[in-house]
Formats: sequence, C-alpha cells, structure tokens
Amino acid sequence: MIRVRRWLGIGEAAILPTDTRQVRPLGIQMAIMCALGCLAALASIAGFRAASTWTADLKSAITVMVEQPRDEQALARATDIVRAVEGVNAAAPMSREKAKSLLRNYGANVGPLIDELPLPRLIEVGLASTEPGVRTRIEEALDRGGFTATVDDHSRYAGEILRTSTALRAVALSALFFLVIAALASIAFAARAALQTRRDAVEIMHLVGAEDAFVADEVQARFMRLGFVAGVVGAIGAGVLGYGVAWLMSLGATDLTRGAPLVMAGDIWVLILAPFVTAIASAIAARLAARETLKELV
Amino acid sequence: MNARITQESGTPDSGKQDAGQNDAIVQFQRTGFRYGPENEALREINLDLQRGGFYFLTGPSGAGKSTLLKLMYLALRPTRGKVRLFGTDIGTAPREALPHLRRKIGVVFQDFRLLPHLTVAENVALPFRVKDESSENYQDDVAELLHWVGLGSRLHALPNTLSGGEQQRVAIARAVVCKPSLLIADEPTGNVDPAMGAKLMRLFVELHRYGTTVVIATHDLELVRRSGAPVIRIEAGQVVGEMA
Repeated sequence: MIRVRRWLGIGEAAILPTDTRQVRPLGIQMAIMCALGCLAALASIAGFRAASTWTADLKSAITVMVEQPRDEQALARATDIVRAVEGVNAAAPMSREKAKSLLRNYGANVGPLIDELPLPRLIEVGLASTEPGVRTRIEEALDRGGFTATVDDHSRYAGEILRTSTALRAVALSALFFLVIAALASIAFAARAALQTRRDAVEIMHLVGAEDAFVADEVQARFMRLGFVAGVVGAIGAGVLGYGVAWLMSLGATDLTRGAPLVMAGDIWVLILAPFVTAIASAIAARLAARETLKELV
Repeated sequence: MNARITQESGTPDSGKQDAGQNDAIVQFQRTGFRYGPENEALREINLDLQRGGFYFLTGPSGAGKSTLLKLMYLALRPTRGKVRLFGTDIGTAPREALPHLRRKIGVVFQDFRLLPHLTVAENVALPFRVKDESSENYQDDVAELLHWVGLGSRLHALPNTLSGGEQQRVAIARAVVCKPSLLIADEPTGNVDPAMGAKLMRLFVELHRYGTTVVIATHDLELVRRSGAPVIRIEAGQVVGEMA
C-alpha cells in the first residue's frame, strides 16, 4: 500500500527533488509526441474504416455489361434473368444518363459527342450476400439466355482500396511506433539525467539503506505523473485537432466521404486511453533506465 | 600492522587476528584502497573492531580516515584485501545485500548531507521511509529525538534555515533514529558549542551502553582524552598506533 502511494505521489514529499527546468521542456515534448501519436492512431482507424466501408459497398454490388443484343427489350429480359439468380437481391438497368455521368467521372471529356458514343448497356445488381458463386451463376444464366455479357464484381477496385488502405495504416502505425520509441528514449534519457544530477540525494538514500528498487520507485513515480499530465494535454490537443478537421471536412462532404468520416465520436476511446498508456509507458521506461543507472552509483 | 583492540580489556591485542573466533563487527584484513593508479589512500590495514566497542579514529588530514570510514559505511569497496562487516565480505557481497547491511549502520557525515527540500523531521525519518515503514510507526520517535537534540521547535523547518550546529544535530538524529548496530561519525562535534558537544557525546555513550558499536573520527584530542575510549591512529594510509 505504501509502495502504491509512493508510485502515485500521494502523502509524503518526494525524496528525490524535482528539477522544474528539466521537467517542463520534457513535459511539453511528451505532450506533443502524445498528440502526434493520438493523431496517428486516429488516422489508422479512419483509414481502416474508410477502406472497410468502401470495399463493403463495392462487394455488395455487381455490374453486368450486356454486349449483345443491345436493344431495350433485350436489356429488360436480361435484367429479369439476373433478378431470378439465387443470391441476387435486386437488379435494374442503368439509365443512359447515369451511364453518361459515370463516363464523365472517369474523365471522358467528350462534350456533346457523348450522345454519339456507343454507351454500354449496364445492369446494376444488388447482392443478398458476398458469396463468391453469384458471379458465376449470373454468367451462366445469361449465357443460357443467349446473351453475350461481362459480369464485373468490382474485386479489382476492392483489392486496390484494401492495398492502399493497408499501406496507409502501415505508415500511420509505423509513425506511431517511432513516436513511442522516441518518447521512451527521451524519458529514459531524462530519468538517467535526473539520477546523475541528483546523485547526492541518491547516495544519501542508499547510505541510509534504500534498495535500488526504492530509488527506482521514486524516479518511476515522478515520470508516471509527468507522463499522465502530458498524455492528458496531448490527448486534448489531438482531440481538438482531429474533431476540428473532421467537422471542417463534413461541411463539404460527398456521399463517398460522409460514409467514412476522418474521426467519429466513437474514436474518443483513443484519446481517453492515451494518458494512461503514456503514464504506464513513461513509468516503465523511467524504471528500466533508473535501475540501469543505479548500478553505476554507490 | 595487525591490531585487535579489545574493548573489554581496553588494550590493543596485537597479532591476535582470527576472524572465526573473535566477535568483530568490522574486520579489515590486509585492506588497501586506491583512487586510481597513483593515489593509494589505504594500504595493508589489519584491524578488528569489536561488537559493542567505542572507538576514536584520529590522524592528520589526508591520512585516510575518511576512506576508512567510507569502507565501513559501504560507500566504497576495497581494491585490495578484505573488509568484513557483520561477517559479510563487502568486496564480494552482491549489490542487493548492501542495503540490509547499511540499515544496521548510522552515519554522521562531516558535511551533514541533509536533503535541502525535505524538512528537518522528514530528513530524520529518511531511514524509516526507505524501509517502507508507515509514518505512524516512527513520527513520535522522530519528534522525541529532535526534542532531545534541542530541535523540537524546528521539526518543519528546511535545513538551509538552520545554523551549522543545528544541521549537525539533525544529521546525528538521522544517524541514530533507527538505533543502529554500528554508528560511524565523522567530526560529529565539529560545528557545535562545547555544551552541545558534550550532550551529543552523552547520546553516543548512551547508544553504546545499549550495545551500539561507535566509531568517531575526530581531531578533538581533548574529547578523546576525556572519553578514555580506545583510539586508532592512522597516518599515510596505515594504522600507526592504537591506544586503549
């Protein structure tokens, strides 16, 4: 119990004096690192969420391009055939206007010539499940009905989105990892410096019978408290920045971005957890550095 | 020179060095200490300090008194020979064993070595705190001892607001508060007036009466003469004489 009170800095004055000239810059540095760490974690979560949302949308739909015959009656018949396939939820022919807008989205800046282009006749198919056999069943049904058609299950785009999001997540998590290492190294350096500059106090503690673990407790407690305060400040900073940017982005959001926002209210657990993680990581780094340094002292 | 000063007889018992058979609390066996290759502070020290003894350590400045004391209170380990403390060879003892030995030793440093950000009472309570004792168990002892050394009204004062003599009394209180088996004091009466010096000496004598082994390094030959306790004289890193 006494040890826990010492770790939390409750009760009696700390035996190792605190050097505020050293602590303040370190606290600021740790708060900034914590804020960057939170933003990296939020970015990783946002990337994963966006990729999941977009790939789910893509995988729940199939596009059928009817090549032969191309008349309206044939398209209606093909739509009926597709609708009757097991695993298909809905099927509807895509209007010429929508097909034109898709072409425009793909950069086909052809102006009035677009009306002259042989636009593909498309059927939009909604799937009841993402079962892989549906595509084959649609192809076979259309073939039996005498149609030449191409069935696109969007797997190419889904794969690309997944690869891109995985790469972005890896970058964000790597940034987080390097930030954590840099923060821990700073704490270890500061803990070592604190012991070296106050070796007079450490020597007194040792000579009155303190074990290395006791001295390490003192150092650990100080850096744990510093880590917690820096974590709170950093998390607040990251929260203001993250939710602020998300709000600004929501002002001009399209369907695409509205479905996968940068930061959501549910992501706040990252910010709540940050001070505790920072405190524990600081305590461990400081303790290990202190134990190592104490071996060199009396 | 081999020396075994026997408190009971009050005479140096030269040549009788048998670690297994005597009741030595501190034993130096051909002990040497060097601060680097050139500076040999102690050489060939052979000395037994008996449990329950009261000793003075004298000698000129730079003779090696402080180094000898540092070996006794485990601030240094010997670079040659052996030092046994409470039967443990401190040269080979693992680091983890040292705190338990140190808790049996009270040390009064010449420069007091008080922690400036802690109050007088907190400084004196330090030996209890490092043992994780609850403050309820020791705060009365601390207050009583500080009253006894004349600092009852300064419990919450910071050391830098005290005079040299008052700081010395705080240092002494810290050294004796846990009733150590071995008390080592480096010039403990150097900064106090004769009346307080006499009072502190009475405290040491009282502790000695309860079984504490006391070693006092001093230049105050009058104090040594008055006490009649055995004296170890050290010069140029060697024990050159013992008087009982």
